[in-house]
Amino acid sequence: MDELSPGELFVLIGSAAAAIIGWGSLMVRGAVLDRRLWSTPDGRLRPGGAYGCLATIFGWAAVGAIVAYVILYFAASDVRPSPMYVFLYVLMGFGVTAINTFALRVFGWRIADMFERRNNAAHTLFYTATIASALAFAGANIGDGPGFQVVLFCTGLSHVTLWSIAVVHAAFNRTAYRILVDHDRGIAFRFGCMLVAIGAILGRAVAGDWPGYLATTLDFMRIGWPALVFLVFDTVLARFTLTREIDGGLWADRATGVIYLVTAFAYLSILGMPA
Amino acid sequence: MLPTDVPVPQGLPEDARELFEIWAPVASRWSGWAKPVLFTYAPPATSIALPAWSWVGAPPLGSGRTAIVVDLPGNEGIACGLALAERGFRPVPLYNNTQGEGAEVIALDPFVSGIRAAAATLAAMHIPDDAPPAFLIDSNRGSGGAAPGMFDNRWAVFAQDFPSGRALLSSGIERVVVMRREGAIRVDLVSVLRLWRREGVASERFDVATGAQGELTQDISLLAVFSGHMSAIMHGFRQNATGGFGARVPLPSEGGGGGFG
Repeated sequence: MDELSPGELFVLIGSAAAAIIGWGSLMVRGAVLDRRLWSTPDGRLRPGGAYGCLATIFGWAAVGAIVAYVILYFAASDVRPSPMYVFLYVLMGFGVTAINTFALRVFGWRIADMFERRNNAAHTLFYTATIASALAFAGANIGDGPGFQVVLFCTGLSHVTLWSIAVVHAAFNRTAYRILVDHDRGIAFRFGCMLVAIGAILGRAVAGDWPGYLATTLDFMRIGWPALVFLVFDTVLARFTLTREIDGGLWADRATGVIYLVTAFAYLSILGMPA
Repeated sequence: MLPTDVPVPQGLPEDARELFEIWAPVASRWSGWAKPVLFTYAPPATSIALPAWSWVGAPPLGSGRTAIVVDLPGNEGIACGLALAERGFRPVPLYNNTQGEGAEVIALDPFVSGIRAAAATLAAMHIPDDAPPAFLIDSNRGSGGAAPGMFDNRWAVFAQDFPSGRALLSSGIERVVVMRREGAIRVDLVSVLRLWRREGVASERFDVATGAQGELTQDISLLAVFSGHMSAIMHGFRQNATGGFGARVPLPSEGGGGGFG
């Protein structure tokens, strides 16, 4: 069994704490302890904790599958064969996506939006943002590097960019209001798909063998710039549809979201895996 | 909706489902915003009567194009809601705090008792399904201090607790009247009014004690919206792990405490 360095042990404990607090609060609120959700006077407004539990498990499974797959097949050559390091980096994935839920709170999202207010658009926002975060983190694990600190650096680079794009989008287009107060499912799906597409691109932009801090940052900008194209395009689209009715363009939004995903996938396919 | 033969879950009053149906009937378009928290508690040992309600002056109730936010202390808000129901409004309780161990910062019994006391009268009224809403909140929701060992159930409202401006406009609501007594409107409600104003829903104030009324103006700049957004994020109240607001303030020796959320 490999020995963890003090720094790695610190990251392990920090990741475990973040995962337990972030994901645990969802689980607690969504299912386990929420007697009120189970025992509401009216099932119409409170569907029962089981849904919250299943939704949370789906989120866990998605994060676990994405991160574990990338680490097992594309991580550094000394990480892949080591169960301890695979465990460490998968746990980091849960920790980072949990921190992402706290960033969502700055966006205005609250757990109550999903389970108490039964806002399907908030569900969509949460799961797409989580998948985007998992992709952005997974990319940071691809390639060889000197240690966990470069994974943290790349994760920070991709996530700060992801969150900044979300904030700019929200500031120009009232995105948080449209999703969390209007409950507009179409906008939630389109915006969520944009986040997933951007998360995947940013993940790819930080992937590869470690060439140093400056070279990594320059590579990140060289490969990740299409993320800004998604932001600009969706902002223009959102501005044109700012005054429309709630769910007024549901199917158009869904189609646009799928186009975002296909476009990002095509871009990543053209790029291929890092050398 | 649950089938009627599903038993009321353990720990809930037997009439909880029936009571909630009276206050938030399936057919009303505003029922989705009603908070079920109060309905999950058994009635207090000593029933607390609702205060008598009489209008001072002429409240600006409009003609179906006005929504009301009743921002009054204690069960006075429920009494006002009942009076508004007589005038064709659908009262929507948004009270969102809980009971727990220790002395409560906001006593919940008057609300639990008031909801029950008003139910029979409300059930006898035939309020149209498309009646405009009267949202009931407690003006003391953020007042008081919480000492260690107390159950801190102070709470705040968020934009998500109300229909959006767009949803109000699409239901024909163009204006919101805030009914309250003297004093400044709390910042959480101001943020909600500001966002409504940005969507095109105007607001005014009616003082139930004096009958005075006047337009409310809000700064709708991006900076003001951002400031309101940040204050909503950092409200500082204790959320309950099981929903709503309320948690025991830990004693210094205990550390931690509070809920998630």
